[in-house]
Amino acid sequence: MRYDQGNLLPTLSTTIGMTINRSVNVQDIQRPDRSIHLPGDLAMITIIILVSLVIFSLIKWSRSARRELQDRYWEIKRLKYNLRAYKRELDDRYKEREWLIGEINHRVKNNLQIISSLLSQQLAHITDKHATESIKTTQQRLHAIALAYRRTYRAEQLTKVDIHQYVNDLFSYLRDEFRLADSPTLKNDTGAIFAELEVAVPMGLIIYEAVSNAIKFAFSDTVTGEVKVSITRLAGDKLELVISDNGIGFPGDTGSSQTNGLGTSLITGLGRQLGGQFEIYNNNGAILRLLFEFKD
Amino acid sequence: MNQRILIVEDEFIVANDLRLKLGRRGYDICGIASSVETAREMVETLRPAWVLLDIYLQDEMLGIDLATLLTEKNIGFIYISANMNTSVLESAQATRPNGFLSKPFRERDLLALLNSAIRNKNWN
Repeated sequence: MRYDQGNLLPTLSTTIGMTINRSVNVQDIQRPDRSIHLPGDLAMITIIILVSLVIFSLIKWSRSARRELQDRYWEIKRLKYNLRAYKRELDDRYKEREWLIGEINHRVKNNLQIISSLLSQQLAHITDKHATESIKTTQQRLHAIALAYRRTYRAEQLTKVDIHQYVNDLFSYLRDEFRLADSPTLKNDTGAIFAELEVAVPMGLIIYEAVSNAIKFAFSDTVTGEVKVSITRLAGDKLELVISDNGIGFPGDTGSSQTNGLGTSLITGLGRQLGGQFEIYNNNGAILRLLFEFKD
Repeated sequence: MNQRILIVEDEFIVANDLRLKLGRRGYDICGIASSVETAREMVETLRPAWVLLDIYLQDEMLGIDLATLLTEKNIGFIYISANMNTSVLESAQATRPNGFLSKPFRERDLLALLNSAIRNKNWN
């Protein structure tokens, strides 16, 4: 009966109780009531011990959990720091790359200047009219190349050329070189196309040659002429370059060899370099069409 | 209108080209300096009215460093550079040059720029 004092671990407390009962003192014997409570006290002690154990292990666990959390925290902090360092390095590399490309472009233009200056000084020693013309034409082609390099200077597009702008620049250069007034008008029908220098430069030279040919040969003084350059992106990664005018057309069928020699061979050669196919024909004027593979 | 012009350019071929082009048009080229240091001396001794100034020179000094002296002495100057879009260009512009010519330049652009710069400066 004394065991069912509501203790939670009867077996354990019985054992402990019986052991302690043997050594109970006289007072306890005289007052047997209290001896009945003794196993309950023991049970309480046990419970306290157990609870303390639980609390202790809980504390221990929470400590280790906290340590683990702290470890993770430091780990994350370290990763964050590393990430920031990587980003800084990337930024530096990007800036360095930008600077290098800018520097290369700078040097290319400087070298173009040196070549142009050399040709100018050569000119001073030449009296032959044909030779003088040749050197001047070479200087003009050189300048057409330089214009492409001028258009590469944009923050994000350091190696790419804004083709629409480049064609505009070529036009104003041509207008200036040939002192064009009203006729022919030059029309730029080019969309937003950005091309690498190795594509832009041959394209620019082709345009320069073809348009200057048209200005020189396609129009009689009475006609209000127009030369149009249109560059269009076609399906399947193709670019179409069309240079057309409303002048007298190419002589013969497509025999353009009658115009200036190097200009024509430059046009066909550079077209081939771009991996393109040329169509040259007359349709209310001369039309030169080049189709070539083009990826952004 | 005999304007004495000093050319500051470290690339001989380009400097010589400038000298010949301007000389043919009747300009008096009083000297060619290839460094900022030499240019400083030449400005003091030769007293040019105009200086054509390459921004990047070989001795790591920038043509821009000369600008203060030129402004002080009321000498007109025109930058000639191949680089058109850098922070250097911004600091060059801050020195208020009388003109800016980009390389490679054409004779026509050079003459037009120099003429208008001289005209503008005389007005002011």
